[in-house]
Amino acid sequence: MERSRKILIIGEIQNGKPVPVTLELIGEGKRLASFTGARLFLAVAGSGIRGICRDLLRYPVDRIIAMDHPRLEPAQLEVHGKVMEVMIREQKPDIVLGGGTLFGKTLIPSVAAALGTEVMTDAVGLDIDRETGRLLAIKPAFDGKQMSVVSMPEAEVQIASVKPGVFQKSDETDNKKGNITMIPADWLEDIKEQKKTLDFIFEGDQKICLEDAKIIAAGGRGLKGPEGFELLKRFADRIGAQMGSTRPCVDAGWTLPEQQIGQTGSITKPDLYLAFGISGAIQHMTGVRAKTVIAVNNNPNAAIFQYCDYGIVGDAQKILKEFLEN
Amino acid sequence: MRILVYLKEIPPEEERDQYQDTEGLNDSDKNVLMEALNLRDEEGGTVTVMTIGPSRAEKTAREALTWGVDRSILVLQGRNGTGNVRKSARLLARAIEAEGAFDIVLCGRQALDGDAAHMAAMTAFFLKIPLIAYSRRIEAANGKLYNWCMSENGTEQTECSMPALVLSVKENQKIRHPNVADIMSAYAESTAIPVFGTGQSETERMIQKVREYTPKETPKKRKLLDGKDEQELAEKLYQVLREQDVLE
Repeated sequence: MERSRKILIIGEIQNGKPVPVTLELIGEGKRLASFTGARLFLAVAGSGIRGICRDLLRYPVDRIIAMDHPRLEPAQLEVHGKVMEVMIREQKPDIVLGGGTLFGKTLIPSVAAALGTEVMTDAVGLDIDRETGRLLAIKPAFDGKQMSVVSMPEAEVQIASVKPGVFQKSDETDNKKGNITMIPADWLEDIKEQKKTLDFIFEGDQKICLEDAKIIAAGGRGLKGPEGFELLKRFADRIGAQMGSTRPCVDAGWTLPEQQIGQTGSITKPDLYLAFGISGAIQHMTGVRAKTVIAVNNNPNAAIFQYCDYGIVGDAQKILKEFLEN
Repeated sequence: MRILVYLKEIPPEEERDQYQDTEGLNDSDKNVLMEALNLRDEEGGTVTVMTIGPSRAEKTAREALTWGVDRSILVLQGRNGTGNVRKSARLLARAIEAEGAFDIVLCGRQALDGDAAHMAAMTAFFLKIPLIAYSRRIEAANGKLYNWCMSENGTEQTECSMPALVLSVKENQKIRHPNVADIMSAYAESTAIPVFGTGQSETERMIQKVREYTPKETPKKRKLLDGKDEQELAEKLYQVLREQDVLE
């Protein structure tokens, strides 16, 4: 078996702390490294991050490669992309993992293009092939309608981006063997700015955040249109739930992209998940890891009824209307 | 303003059933086409559409003409294998460069791999232009482009020079419909769809499929709730929610 020597995680820092998916990848990276004896490196870049780097040594990383410079905040693709490209070329990992945050989804393919390679995007599972030692990624094929296990058998560096919420955050470790290497950053001044941030409208608690929601009320095509989703919104408010939807409803303009749940949307882990007019196709249910599922659908043969704890066969829109009126 | 729109990649014939939700333009394609045409109405200029795919993608390229775009081009591509986006992106970038200078390259949410900005990021890299991702609103003024973009905690307003590649997530466009004159022109025999590329399949595929994957289903002890009508079913739902301590 070809042994992986080094796994490098592209970390992301926002608002003075590592994003959750960075800590999730440390945990998963450590698990993958245990199969091959690889060392686990974390690459981070930002402004005023030395304290954050010291905090990150509480997690089981062997080394943190860091760059600290004012040009690195706010995060700009042209700057972070170049930084990560340089770090990867210097460190020569054979596996690179990154988180599929909004920024990560643009950063990681851009870095892959700069390195002359591909990236296995939107992975919902990772493993190491025990015979070849290569990285395996479980990802959607064909626009999310099917899932496949893929690998990069000939690539010098294998890159995967992972959806936030797939893995558990790493535990902290007492064994503080890791160290920090700060990389010189003066050359960042020469990178031409491509985009300027003029304003940032903070949405805070109003921001839709399905990944953290304890209760989700989601709707699908069975709600038939915007009116159905207006009822669902009122229902969600009534029970203290976040509202989600399937991808076709976002495509049709009935809901927002942030409300999409599924293989190509958010991965959710609520205590309670209510599905109204959702067929239960695999690409949606992959995004639902709930303790309890209640499904409402007028098709008794809908796949959703295989995933639920409680099933109601009926018109989802009418049931919502009756619920709200009584 | 010269606007280029690239549509969702059309899969090869043998992958069509597994991959393609609809024949021709899908909802995401129509959304981004409407956005481009609305922008053209506001700012003046032209809209050119590129469709990437095998020869049968010519149908989609022709359908784009029915919406009143100024030019529609088929970028011929053979089989790439799932996830091997870099080669598609490089081909698209070459096609865009061959066509001339554009101010905005616009794409919708559903590039090859769903909502990942994979194709957009790589295409912007090869074109060496800024990428503005997850834009909800685009405005042009004084030779600059202004976008209001989704970000983790809110909305970011940005300014950049043109040309730029914008990945738009704007839904609920000002609705347009194809008009008769454009439909007739699109399907006239004299209307040719220019083709870029040879459609040669790639032999080297960096990402390869190992096997299909089916998630393990955990058997659920499902309880089906009955009722004579929606009112009774709604009452049953209410009871279940009370048991779950969701309602008082």
